[in-house]
Formats: sequence, structure tokens, C-alpha cells
Amino acid sequence: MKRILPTAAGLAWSAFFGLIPQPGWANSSVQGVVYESTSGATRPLPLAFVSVLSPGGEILATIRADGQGRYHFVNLPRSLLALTASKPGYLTRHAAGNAGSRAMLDCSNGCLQTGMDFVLWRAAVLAGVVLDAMQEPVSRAGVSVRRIGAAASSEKPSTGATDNRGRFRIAGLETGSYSLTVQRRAPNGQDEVLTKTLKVSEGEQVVDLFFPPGSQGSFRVAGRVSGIPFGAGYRTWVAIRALSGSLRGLQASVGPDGSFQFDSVPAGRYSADAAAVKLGTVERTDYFLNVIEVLAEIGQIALQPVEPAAATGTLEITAGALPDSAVIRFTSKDGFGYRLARIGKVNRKFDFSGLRPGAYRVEADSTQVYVKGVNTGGKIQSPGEVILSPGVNRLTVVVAADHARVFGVVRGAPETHQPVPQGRVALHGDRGKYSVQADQAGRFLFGKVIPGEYRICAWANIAPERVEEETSWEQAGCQPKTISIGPSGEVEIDLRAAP
Amino acid sequence: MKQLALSTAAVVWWAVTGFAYQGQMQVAGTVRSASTGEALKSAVVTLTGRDAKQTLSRTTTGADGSFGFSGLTPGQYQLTVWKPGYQTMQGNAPVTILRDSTETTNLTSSLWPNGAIYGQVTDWDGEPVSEAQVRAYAVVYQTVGARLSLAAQGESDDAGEYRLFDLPAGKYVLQVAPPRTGTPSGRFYAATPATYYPGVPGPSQALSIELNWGQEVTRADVKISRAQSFVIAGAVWDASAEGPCTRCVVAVVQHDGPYRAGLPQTARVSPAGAFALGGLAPGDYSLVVRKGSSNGAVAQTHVTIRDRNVEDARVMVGLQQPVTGQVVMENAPEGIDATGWTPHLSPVALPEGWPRADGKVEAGRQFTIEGVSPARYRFELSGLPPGAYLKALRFGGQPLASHEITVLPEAPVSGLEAVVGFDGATVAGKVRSENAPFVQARIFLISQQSQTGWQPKPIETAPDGSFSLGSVAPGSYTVYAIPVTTSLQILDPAVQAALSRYAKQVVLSSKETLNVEVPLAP
Repeated sequence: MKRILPTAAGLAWSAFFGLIPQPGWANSSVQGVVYESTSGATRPLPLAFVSVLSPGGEILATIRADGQGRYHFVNLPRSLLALTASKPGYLTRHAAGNAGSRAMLDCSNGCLQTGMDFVLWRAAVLAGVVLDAMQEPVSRAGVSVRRIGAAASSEKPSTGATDNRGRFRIAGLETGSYSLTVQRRAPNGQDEVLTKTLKVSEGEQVVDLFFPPGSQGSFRVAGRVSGIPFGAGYRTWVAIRALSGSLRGLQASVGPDGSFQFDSVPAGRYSADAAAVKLGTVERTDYFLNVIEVLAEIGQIALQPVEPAAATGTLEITAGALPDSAVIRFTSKDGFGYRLARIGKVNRKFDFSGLRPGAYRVEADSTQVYVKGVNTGGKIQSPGEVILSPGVNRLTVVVAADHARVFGVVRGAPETHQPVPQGRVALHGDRGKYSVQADQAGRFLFGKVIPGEYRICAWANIAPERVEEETSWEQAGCQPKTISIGPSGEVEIDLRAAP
Repeated sequence: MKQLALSTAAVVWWAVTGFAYQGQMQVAGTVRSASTGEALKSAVVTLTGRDAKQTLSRTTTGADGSFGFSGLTPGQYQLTVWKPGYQTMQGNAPVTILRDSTETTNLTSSLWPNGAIYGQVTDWDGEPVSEAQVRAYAVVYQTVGARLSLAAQGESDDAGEYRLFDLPAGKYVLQVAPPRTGTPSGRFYAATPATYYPGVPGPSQALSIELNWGQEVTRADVKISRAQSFVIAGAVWDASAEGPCTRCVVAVVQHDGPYRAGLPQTARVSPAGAFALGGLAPGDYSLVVRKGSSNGAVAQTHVTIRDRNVEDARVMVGLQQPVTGQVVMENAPEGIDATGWTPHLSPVALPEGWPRADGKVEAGRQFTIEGVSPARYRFELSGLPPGAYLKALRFGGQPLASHEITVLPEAPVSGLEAVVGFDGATVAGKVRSENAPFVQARIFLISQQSQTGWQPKPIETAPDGSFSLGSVAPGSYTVYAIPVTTSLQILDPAVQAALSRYAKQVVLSSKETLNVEVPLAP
């Protein structure tokens, strides 16, 4: 067991780090055990780090648990604190009985706590080799992996770099789907980017990556615009924006004969726009141009303006009452972006202009209503999707406020039928994904569920991130139940928790 | 010495093996590894115009290491060969395309492969240390003592393993510093001082790793121990702003025997001007304080940690001084104009990144160098005509050893005398090598009775072994020719004694041009 003892060196050290023992701190003692969970079995994890953090997340002190996973903190500051355990190569899933990595402690009046146990899981490792077309190792390439998924969008990507043998290793990963990006400076001085989607499961995975032989990755794109003003009296330029990937936009000016050239465009799909400013004025007109696909060098491409689309119409509600205002969002399925508008209860009108023609998803940014369908002149297109043609598209967005409630109790083994406290319940369907934690009595409630077909599953103990992907439910030990949820329905269901 | 620093050494082995008509290729050849002789694929060969500024053509070697350029107009070109993991080769001699464009120049270039050092960092419990900061320092011998030059750095991974690569042949000292604070591991190891391979507290006790070209040293494992460490705390004052220096950053350099090793930890100065640096073992240190960007004022102070924290370190920045003086010409020929010569002050034995101070010589032979931060410097004068050399640097009538001067805070230096002699001699000749193929060599002139301790700078031979070193102060010297590819430290007296068989003694008189043949040391 390790303690923070007030030795002379320790005093200087802790004075440096702001953890000066003060009179009255003597009555604080926090202890527990750090465990490791592997294939169902839980056993003590030796020599893990246990840290005390300020409420803001700043690490105040770290000690090491002993060979049996036991730790004991004394001399803690008198304030609200957070406690966490960690070890290189592991992820922290449980802190003091709750899912998550931190346990909160109120030591404002001293604290005496035992049984502050932690459970750690071995993290996954992604390792690999990056080679070029000649099977030579690519060194100093930047490697980045980002988890795909709704909750993961706020996570920072994990990064690494290849060594002289072209090898990289990224550790500390959760299982799940990832987007891997490798970037290198090719011999010709251009940057080359390689992307790949892969699934990371428990343990260590090795992946071999090759930079495409022959291809430089970036190409010259040249051509001519027509149908927009350029040349004498105008300053015109073409801009292209990637529809996939994270590369920023590129711009090229249009010459007097309408020609333009981009020297180095990474492969991918792009939307092209043009803008023309009448010289001597501030008059600027923007145009949508074609979508272009860059796979190889393009010597002569013709770009013309595309007539923009407009979506105008009204909001109608079929069931329930319209709230005072609802936000409706049109999101381009081709990656052109999205537009949203706040529509009032009385006026109910919307008017989006200047959209690129194409397929759009229509959604409500609201918990009070959901989009049931879009009515375009007599036909309701598939729930919440519409194709906008060039010109004016008149449509009615039909919303409803007839959400259903789903509630019940999470129970344990069939023999005992006892409710399981603080289990997690996940509800996934085409109309939405929901996840909630049950209370101490095993009761759970989904307050506003959009009617539709869903699959539902419950677990006694699982971290929220692991239930995001329905594909990992079975691996986590649960067989989903299918339920039909009708409008304004009340669905009560008892669930058996997976361990 | 340049061959061990990170700069791209010009390591060349040319063999212009005659002309063969190879289809349309006008410049063709093969790139091979200098250590194994195998063909190198994916090497980038660049052809530039004579002034090497504009890339005219670039190609990559194929699976058999071959490359070729065609469609070239007659003229002179420069060739550069680059491959990651190898020392870049920049051709010294231009490639000449003859008037008859059907002739082909056939070249073989050899690249020296870089080496790597791999290992694992563990602590006193045998646990791997992740995110430890590992640095490889190249041992570079100088006129006096040795210097540690940072060659590569990296962090250990979750298994405690680190990989440092792209290292030229040489002698290395490995330093392991604890992980950065801000992580649980960083907080746990915060009080652990820096350790040197295999687990000692100072670079002078470290086991240096001798790396040959292309060699990979694995299992250079370092064990960090729970040694006692202390804190240096204090304040930084900005004399020019008359207040605490809030934009200053404090770095620390460890002194151990002849070595100075930079440590990774830095401290930002607080709004009240205070700073604290922890995790330092007992010993001697320099605190190097830099204000703002890399061109800002710098200051340093020495601190010794004995057996307790140092709480009262004080550093003052903004005390830059002007250094002024005069150029004194001895027996100058008619019409010599000193205006336009450039005096430099290069920092001596200071951590890398310390700026060099440059000045100018005005009419009347006065020179001024502005904004010199207090430190020890070596004075140099560039732009001198052929045959001219800095004979002595005098201050108060006394010559300064090794042309070095110490600039103190609050003490402008004036009255320096830079004595320029014009009777410089030239040592020219050729390097004789027993083995038929040439290896480019570096010529060192070691002065036997240098009163000032100053040595001429070494130069490299041309690909055919010829050299010419001019503007050398008369006197007696020992001349050595060392292949550029070896990592021998000729300034090390022990090495000089071992190579005495290959040394050539010369006595240079004023303005003499002496021709010698120097044997190539192995």
C-alpha cells in the first residue's frame, strides 16, 4: 500500500504541486481496490495509478496501488474531489460501483471512505505497417484514428506516427468502428492521404496499409466555365469543396477565356461554386456549378451553372398541438450541408432558397415534434426525405407530436426475478436511437419515443458507449426484443438484463 | 562536427565510370547502399541547375536502384539523392552534359544508411513507463571538451517501448525524462529526475551507444529509479519593462562533467514573475530564460542543487549590451576597406537555440554588435579578402584566449580590438589513399602552438581528393585527412595520438602556398 507521507522531500514536492497538508487533514482516508475484468472474470489489477483530481479535472496527486490492487489515500484536500484509476493499456469502466471512469468524493469536511473500487478493461491496440508501391517502409507518416458514432463525434482522435520500419502502434482504444487516416509527404513533395474504415475489437489488431502504387494522390484539375460572367469587367473565381473527407476548400481564378486550373486536388468528390464580382462595384453573384469526381488528372472539364432549388411551404401537424416554434432542418444527403429555420405556430411558413438540387432529409430539431413525412403535391415521400429539383419546390412538412412512452423494469436472473439496479436500456429503431439508465429499483423510462419499430435490450452493467452500435449488442451478451410502438402509445415492458 | 549533427552531411562516393550509350538516357545511374552495396529503390534523384535553386527534373529509382534523365540540354547540373532513412547525398561536383547530347553520363551514388536505437523504459517496480520522454544526444567533440547535440527524441508507448531513428553513425547518450505532467503517469513520476542509459543520473556516467551506419541497437533499456529530486524556484525580471517577465519561459540544462544536456521540462513564468521547475537531481544546472519568441532576449544563470530545494533563483532578461570595437589591420596592402566585413558573436558551450549576434563594420573600421545577451561568445569576422584572417582579439591590450569574450549584464563592452593579419598562408594538395576508390575526406589543421587556442575550420576535399585551405595564420600545424564517413573525433587528443602515423607536419610561413600530400586515415 502506498501513502502520501509528509517527508521533507514530499513536502517540497507537494508544496510545488499545491497539495500542502494542513492541520485538520489528518482525518481523511480513502481506500479501495483496482480490478481488471477479462472475459467475464474479475481479478485485482496490480500497480495501477490512482489519482485525485480537482472538480475541474486537474490532477492533484497520483499514487500506485500495490501488488493486490489495494490503494489508500490519506491527507486529501478539503474540497469536492474526483477519484480515478488508470493504467497504460487499460480503459476505466467502473468507478465505485457506477459506470464511468471517475468517482466523486465530498471531502469538504474530511472523508473516510472504503470500498472505492475501480474496474479496468484492457484497451484495444491497433498496430500496422505502411508501405509504398515498392514495398518500402513509409516513415514519419501521420496516423490518426477516430471512432465513428454519435457520441464519439466529440472525442479527440488518437494519433501516432510510423517509425523507420513503417510501423505504428496506437493503444488505449475502445472497441468499435473507426475511421483511419494516414498522411505522408510523397517524394514529389505532395501530401498523400489514405483513409480506411475498420472495426477494432478486443486485443491487438495489425493492419497493413499501402499507398496506392503509381497514384500521386493529388491531381491537376483544369477546364472551362460557361454560362457565368468572366473576363473583361469581372473578377471571377471557382471554388471547390470536398463532399467527403476533411480537406478544406480550394480556389482558382477564372481567366479571360473562362479557363481555370487547380494544381493539386486530392482524390474525392467535390461541389464546385463560382462567384463573379463586377469590377468597380460590390455586386457579387454566386453560382452553383456541377459536382466533380477527381480520380485522376483532369485536363478539360466543362463547368456550368446549376439552377438552384428553393423549398417553400408550410408546416402541418397531424396529431397533437404545434409548439410555439419548431426548428425544421433540411440536410443534404450528398454532403452539400444543411439549412434550418424556426417556424412559428401562427405563421407556419418556411422558405429556403439557394439550395443545391438533390436529395434532402427533413428533420425537426425538437423533442416536441417529429417529422412524419413531406407532402409534395399529393404524394408523401418516404418519411422525412425529399428530392429538390431546380426551381421552386412547393411542399408541406407534416409533423406530429404523438410521441409514445416506453417504460418498465429491468430484472435479473429468471429464477429470482429481482429488479436490477442502475442497469442500462437501449432502444434502437429507424426513427431514433435512445439509451437510458434505470434507477435503483430497476425502473426505466423513455419519455418521448417517435412511433415506429424498435429493438430493445437491457444490461446490468455496461458503459454507455458500448451500446451505441446495435451490432455490438449481441457481442455484449443481449438478444434484442422487437417492439412496435404506436403513436401516443404507452408501452410497458419487463426486460431481462444481460450480465 | 557536422557529420554527427542533424544537418545533411554531404557523403559522396562518385564513380564516373565512363560513357556508355544507354538508349535515350543522358544522365543515368544506380543508387546503392554504401554499407551493403545493395540497390536502393524509391530513392528520389533530383537534377537542378548549376545554382541548385530550381529543380529541373526529379525521378525515383526503380526496383533495381536505377534512374535516368533524358532530354537535357548541354550544360552543368547538380544531382541530389534522397531516401528516408539515409543520409542525403548532395553532389559537390557538377554533372556536365556534353555538347553532343547523345553522350550519356553514367553515375553510381552511394547513400549511407541511418541507424536506430530501440528499447524499453521501466521503473523501480519493473512496470513499463509510458509516455516517458526519450532523447538521443550525439556526443560532439569540440576544441575544448565535448558537447551533447540533440539528435532524436520521442515518447515511449503504452508498453514502455521507444524508437529513435534517422541517426547517423556516431556516439550517443540516451536520456529518459519523466512523462509530461497533466496525465496520471506524469503526476506519479513528476519527482523522478532524468535518467541516462542504462540507469544513471548524469550523462558523464552514462554508457554511450556507438552506432555504426545503418546499425539498429535494440534493447537499449533504461531503468528509472526513485532518486531524490528537488525544485528550482525563483523569479524572472525584465529589465527593459521594469517588471516581472510574464512572457518568459524557463528551460534548464544539466551540467555533468564536460557535458551539458538540455532537459525537456520548461516552466512558464507566472504573472507575478515566479516559476518553478521540479524533478531535478542534486548537481549543477543552467537556467536558460527566453522572452517571447525565439529571437527575443535570453538570459542565463547558474544554479547548484545540493540537498534541498532552491527557492531564490533570480534571472534578469533584457540586459542586452552593445559590443563595440575597432578593426586593427596589420601590414594591410593598399586599398583594403573594412566596411562591409561582418563581426559575429557565436555562443560558446550554450544550449542549442541561443541566437548568434551579428553586427557590422562601419567607416573608420569601427564595429558595433547590438543587443547581445549576457553570455560567453566566440568572436569571428567574415567577409575578409583572401589571405586575410583574424589574428587576435584584444581587450584592454591583452589577447583573449580562443577569441572568446564574456559579456556581462549591465556592462557594455567597448574597446575590443579585432586584429586582422594579411599574411595568411595556404595549404593545398591532395589526399593520398591506399585504396583505389576515393572517399571524400575532411582536412583538419591542428595548430601546435596556438597562443589563442583558436583552430582553423576544417574543409572538405573535392571528389578527386584535392583541397585548398587558405587564409591560415602562419605557424606550425599537424594536418589530418579524415574520411567524411567515419565518426572519428579528431579533436580528441587520444584520437590524434592513435592517428599519428597518418599525420603530416607542416610549417607555414607568411603568404606561402604549401603543397602537401596527406595520407587518408582509415
